[in-house]
Amino acid sequence: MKLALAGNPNSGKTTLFNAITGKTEYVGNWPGVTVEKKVANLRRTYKGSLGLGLHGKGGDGEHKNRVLVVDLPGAYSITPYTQEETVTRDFITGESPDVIINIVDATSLERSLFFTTQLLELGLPVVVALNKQDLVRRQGSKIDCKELAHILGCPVIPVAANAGEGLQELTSQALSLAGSVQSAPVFTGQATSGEDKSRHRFVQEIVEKVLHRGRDASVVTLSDRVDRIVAHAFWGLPIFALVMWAIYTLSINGLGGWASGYLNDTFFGEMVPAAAYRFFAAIGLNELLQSLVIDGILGGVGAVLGFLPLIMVLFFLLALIEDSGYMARIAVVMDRYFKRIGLSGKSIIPMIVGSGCSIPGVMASRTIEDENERRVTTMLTPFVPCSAKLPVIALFGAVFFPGATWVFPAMYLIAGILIILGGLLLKKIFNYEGSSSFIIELPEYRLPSLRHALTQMAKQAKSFVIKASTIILVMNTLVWFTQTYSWSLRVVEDPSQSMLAAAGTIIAPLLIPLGFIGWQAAVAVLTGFVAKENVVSTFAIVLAASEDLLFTPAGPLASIFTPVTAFAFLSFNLFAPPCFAAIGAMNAELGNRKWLSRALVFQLTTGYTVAMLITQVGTLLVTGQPAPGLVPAVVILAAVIACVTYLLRKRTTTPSLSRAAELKGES
Amino acid sequence: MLADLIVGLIVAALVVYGAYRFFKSTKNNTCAGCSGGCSIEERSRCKH
Repeated sequence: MKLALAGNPNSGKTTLFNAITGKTEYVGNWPGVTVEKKVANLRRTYKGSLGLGLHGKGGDGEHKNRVLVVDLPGAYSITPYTQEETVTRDFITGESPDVIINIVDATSLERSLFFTTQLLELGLPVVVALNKQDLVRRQGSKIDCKELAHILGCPVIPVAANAGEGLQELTSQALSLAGSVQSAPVFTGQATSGEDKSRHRFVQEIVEKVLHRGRDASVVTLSDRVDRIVAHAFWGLPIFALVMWAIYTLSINGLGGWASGYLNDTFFGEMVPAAAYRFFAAIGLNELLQSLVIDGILGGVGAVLGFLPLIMVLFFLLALIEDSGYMARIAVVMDRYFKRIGLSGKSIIPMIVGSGCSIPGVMASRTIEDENERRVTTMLTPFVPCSAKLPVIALFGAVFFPGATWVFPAMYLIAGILIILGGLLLKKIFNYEGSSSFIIELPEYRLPSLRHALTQMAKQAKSFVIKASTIILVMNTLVWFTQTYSWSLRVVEDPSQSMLAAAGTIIAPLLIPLGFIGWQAAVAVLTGFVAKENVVSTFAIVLAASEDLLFTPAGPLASIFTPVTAFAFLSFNLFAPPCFAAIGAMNAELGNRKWLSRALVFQLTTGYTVAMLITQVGTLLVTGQPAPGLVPAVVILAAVIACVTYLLRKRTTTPSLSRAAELKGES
Repeated sequence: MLADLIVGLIVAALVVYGAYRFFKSTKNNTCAGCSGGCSIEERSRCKH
């Protein structure tokens, strides 16, 4: 049996999905979080009589009583407008679920019931879950569920998905309806050309009958007053910057930073290697194997895992902020800025999601209707520092800017500037005007759920540990192996004679204008493309440094970088193309290799040019001396400027993307 | 010698498993840790 969860964006579908399936899918207090359908089994506690095998249909045994719950992306109408609405329409009309649970946001009844009336006309059994009852009560409003059920002709169950309220009744009603046929309410003007208007009128009439408002809609609430400050045209952005700075400062200088320091310096820096040495000496393990496990695997993985507490605290705080409803306001604040660069407030949502991981961030760009805006957002989203890049920032911050609280915010600031400049440039090059309208219903502010924040934190922690123990471990082994052996597979005394050094030496000249001297930096850049955390573990291995030494200001990293080139290295790693998996997601969203190539060239050129400018200008300003590679840097910069100028001029002689599409259609 | 064999096999198994997870996640456009964004179908395919 299949239960489909359908409803408007941000009505609480995924919260309900998680509650009745026991899953921990990503939930955000803003519209457009779910962009693909998700499927899971209904929890046994909600199966009721079906759990005893009374209602199952289909095969025998376990399969017979299997109830699949399908969480669908939010939709305002059965007629799709965006890609994710198409997913919902296709599933409901194409796969005919046994029952539709229509999640209705009880605080926005009028908007939600439009979709409900369309669902009822499909003939499939529908149960309305009147969600967010806790907020309705807080507003002092009342909804006559019996009357609503009578008008709609289907069961209406009041629920509060985040508190688990009413879920038992909801699921039991849904299961009992399987196999029945739904009849739809009839209204004047149905099946005419002005059907939408008639439907709106019908919905308005329903709302007037069933909703008893506790307060006048024109009354200015506390939420409205807060919005006047945090979503203010001028103050909104500085307040957002201040909030983010506070979050990062709390994470780095608070519990997260302290615990990470202990893990790096004491646990992985001293205790684990010492214990491993003692154990391996006792069992008489081969010295090379000892080196592989201790220097390669434990050293590299430990260097990354040391940042786990910092990441956990950071994502805990971000989840609290997000759940409060504040992030939705940021989309509003950013809308007016993004419009100027051909994007809209919709583009900020993928970027906020991308601060956790670029992959869901890139995927979230599909909520944008305008194709050009969607492509440009996909190209720009990986600029936002994701969780994988945080250990790299933390390492370089600790070594070259100890005690500084500005390093993390500076990286986000540069990312913001690059997104704006990049957006502006791409808009000019691709010659388009953004057409996406951005309308967002701001969710009510609410006290963030501690449980939600802890769940999100645990998810991030799990993801981080899995990544460290799989791909990071593999890369560390590869780095150790290629650094220990020469091409003739002989163990080398001097790592500069190794295969790794030889590979690094090939690309090292390309990095001289950026101020990255030596094969070690080149190798770290390469492994960073596989997964960004690899940069940290690669340095731990190639510099043969224990964690406590790697993080000291006068440690081995200081022999490769100056503070200026270290900042440039950070910028290159952050703004050059993302990891392979994120590139795969970009490929899927951009739709073809041509656009992917354009995106990668744009990102590589951006990362390279920014790092080069930081090194060349920064070194000149700080030391008064030119940095190495000044001449090639000037030549490369001139070439980049020439290419950009050519592309900008070319656009005046070719039709815009949208015009080209129109011409194609006309022909 | 036996210790070398056991530790070597454990390391080899970890590396093979890690590589398998990496290729699966790259193929399915998910991060190796699968921190979100991918659908349940993708997860069931990549065995996360």
